[in-house]
Amino acid sequence: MNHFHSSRDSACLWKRLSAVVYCFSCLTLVLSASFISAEEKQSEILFQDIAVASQLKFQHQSPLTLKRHLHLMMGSGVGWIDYDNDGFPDLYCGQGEAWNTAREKNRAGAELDLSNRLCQNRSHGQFQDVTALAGLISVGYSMGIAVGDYNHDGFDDLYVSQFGRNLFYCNNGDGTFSEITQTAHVDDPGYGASCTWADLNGDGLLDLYVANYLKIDRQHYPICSRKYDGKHVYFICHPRYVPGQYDVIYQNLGNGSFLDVSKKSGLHSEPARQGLGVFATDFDQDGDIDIYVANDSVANQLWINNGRGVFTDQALIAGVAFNRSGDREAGMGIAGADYNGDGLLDLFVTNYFGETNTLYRNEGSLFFLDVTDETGFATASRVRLGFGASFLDCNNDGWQDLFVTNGHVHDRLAQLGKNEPYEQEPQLFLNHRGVRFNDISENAGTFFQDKQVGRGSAVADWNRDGLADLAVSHLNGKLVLLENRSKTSHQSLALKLIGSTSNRSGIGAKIEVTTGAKKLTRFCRGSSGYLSADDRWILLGLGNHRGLISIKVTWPQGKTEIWSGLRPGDRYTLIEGTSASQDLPQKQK
Amino acid sequence: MIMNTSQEPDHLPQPFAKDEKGPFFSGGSIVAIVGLGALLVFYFFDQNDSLSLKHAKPIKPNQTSIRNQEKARQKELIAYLQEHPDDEFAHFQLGQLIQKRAPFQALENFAHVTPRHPRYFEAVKAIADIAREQDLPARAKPALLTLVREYPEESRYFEDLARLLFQAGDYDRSLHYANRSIELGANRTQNYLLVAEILRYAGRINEMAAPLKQALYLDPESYQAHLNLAYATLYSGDLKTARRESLWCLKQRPDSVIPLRYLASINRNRGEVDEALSNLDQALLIDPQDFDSLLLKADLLIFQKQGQQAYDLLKPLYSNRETDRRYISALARAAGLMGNREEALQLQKKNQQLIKADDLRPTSLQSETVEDNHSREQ
Repeated sequence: MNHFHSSRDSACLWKRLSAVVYCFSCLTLVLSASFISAEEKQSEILFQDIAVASQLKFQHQSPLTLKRHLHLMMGSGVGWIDYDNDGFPDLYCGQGEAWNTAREKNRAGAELDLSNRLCQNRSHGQFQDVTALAGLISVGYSMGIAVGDYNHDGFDDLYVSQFGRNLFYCNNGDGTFSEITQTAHVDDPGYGASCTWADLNGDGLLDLYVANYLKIDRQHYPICSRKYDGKHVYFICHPRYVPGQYDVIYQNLGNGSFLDVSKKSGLHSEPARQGLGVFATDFDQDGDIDIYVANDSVANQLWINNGRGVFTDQALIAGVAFNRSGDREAGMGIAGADYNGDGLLDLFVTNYFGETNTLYRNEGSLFFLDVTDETGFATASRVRLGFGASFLDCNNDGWQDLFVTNGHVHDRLAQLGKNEPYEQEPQLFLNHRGVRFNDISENAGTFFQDKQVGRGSAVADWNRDGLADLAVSHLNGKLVLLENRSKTSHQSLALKLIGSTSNRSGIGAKIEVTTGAKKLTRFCRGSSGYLSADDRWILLGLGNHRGLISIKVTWPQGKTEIWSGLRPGDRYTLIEGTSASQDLPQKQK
Repeated sequence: MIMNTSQEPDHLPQPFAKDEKGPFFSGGSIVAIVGLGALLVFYFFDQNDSLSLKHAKPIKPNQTSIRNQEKARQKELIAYLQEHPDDEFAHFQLGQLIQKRAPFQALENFAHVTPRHPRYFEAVKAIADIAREQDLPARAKPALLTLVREYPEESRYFEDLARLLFQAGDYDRSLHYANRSIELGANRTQNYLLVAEILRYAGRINEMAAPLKQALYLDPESYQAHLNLAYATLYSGDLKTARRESLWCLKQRPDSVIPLRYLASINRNRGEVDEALSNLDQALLIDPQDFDSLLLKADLLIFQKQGQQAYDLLKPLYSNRETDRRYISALARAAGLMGNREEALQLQKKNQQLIKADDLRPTSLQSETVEDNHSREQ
């Protein structure tokens, strides 16, 4: 009986167990279904232009002339600068000008509408134009913008390259700036393009690198035309047939003035080229800052620093002078990031219509491979003309995605019988685990369906919601502020570096974070894409990581420090020399 | 992306063979010398006609009489022209008479006909025909330009001129005339294929799809149109169409290497590197020497960081390919990946030299006029 009873009990138990297993299985299925759906939701990337709603009303002015003056096609950059140190990034917008009003502007005094503009982030979703209050009314056709604290006073300063004499504004710390271009001796009169701050001689002070474009000025200006169908059609001159202009390095003397050391630094060791984009970092990992320059239609340059501020071009041997076919391309903007999570900085260069934008994968030991085709950028970019490019982690999954803004430099190709659109759609590429980029523009918001003539782009978490946003400049068009409205459960960590013995802006520093099996490497950049400057705050997408985080910072001079116990979702300012662990000297020289 | 190259057999037919000029003689002077020689031979032949007739096949009586009449007329005209060398009509008549047998001499005779003469345009047409048949583009071009001016509604002259300019590398003007020939009613598959081919060589590959689709509308089975559409859509990023067209071509010609190579490029652009390598292995089974397949395979091996394998694949091709920049660049990358930095540098420097040579060629955006503007004129 017992046995019978027992077996009946067992059968009953078995039934119950089966029922429990069945219920558990169903529950698992339901949960996994909801998990999949949640995962799918996580990948919803959406950006919305909120420029008007946030009172950003900047309109770029660069009316085209009948004779199609070249510099009027190149546009101006944008730069994020927290000029008032309130933790909310403000926006500085480069302005163009009309060809025939250039002198009138100088004569009549500057007007606000024709000036570069500073828009203060009021921290409640609105911007306010403070250009006049800040003393930043300017004249001239502005191009590149570089943001950095050159005098270690805790306030970021502004350098603006121009078509003509450049501008340098010292932040007074009281909401105003002083223009000190001439007294600081940084008034290069050339045709300046992208520029960046970086400590090039390892003295802890930010020096300046200015990529110059063409050797032209208002008095010596080439005008190009072709006869087509019996008519004379003017179009901007091809840069290969206009001499390039030497780039400039200004060494920060630490006393408020700079010294032009371009020749001494080796920049004149080869013929001048047509520079547009610039990116500074320690490419060969020897503890000093090197410079990569994207040149228009000629070979790009990789200036390797000998540690004392003397450079030699090693682009050829590093494999970044040309593309994989051995062709030089029309380099415009440069974005740099570790796209594949191997800890090395890779380079993305925007190029001309008919060329591809080019992704150079860093293989280490100062050697790069063009992996454009395999990563999905070739067919996506061949029928576009790229300018601004920005790496940003749209959904905080820990992989660096890429934004590219496009637009042609010829608006009259139809008259020459060519079918290359002047206005073009921008693009957003989602990084799939460091292997491949998928063009998700179609579903990333209406902005990506609008054809525009895009030029500069810069990243900032302007509303401090933990997601990276974008400012985008357009030639002769309105500035766009793209708010990141992506749905994601991933958190980020916001970091700002402050150097003490290194440069105060931390430009050139490397940040490493390990989240589970994944290692994230981010770089503190001195410039962004084309003519632009990202916010100094660096966002690290942490994916599904929820635990406390340790951060390793390698400062520009090679010293490393580790900060531990950082919480996802928070914002931290890391000051050089203040961590518990700072005894890891890694200077390799 | 590795595309069709000019060596590949699937190209559209070339309108004229290349005009390879000698270092000291222009095309015109060569024609003049040949023409003079032809006149002498012709005259000599005429003197010895009875002798050569002995060895000729028997000729029917009516043919013989026509031939004799022609010969008599020839003699008469030649004799007349010796007395009256400026008689344009005599030149025209002689040209017509000898066009088939002595085209170079006929060309010279027709050239004596000036625009003042009522038969001038007939002479120009004859010059254009002879120049095309005898592959003399330098003589054909002015004749065709005259004809398109005089007969602006005749599509065939526009088409001929388009082919001629295409061969000369004048792609913009070639495209203009090719499109005009279509506007004037030339509506054959080859007209659209010509437009597509010009666009391709002009670097305007993104515009090729439209004429190719029109060609396929006219001839849905045109292999060339399908293959070129695969190429054009692969270039512009329409990988779905590129794949469909490549598969169609492969079905038609299973032993064709080019569609396999396109499939490899498509797969590479999709990030499917292993599939791409499989396509290339298939292509190399068909033609182990196919350079573009070898190059693409090496490229993929480099991407996979297999520098040594890529280098081993490429290095044996050096002597035949040392002026191909794609090849030199791939070899440099393979060497660099293996750590042969000095070799990589030397190869990149070689590439730089090849670029300098390329720079001597004008680009499509080079201005015809560059002026240094001092004014503020808008």
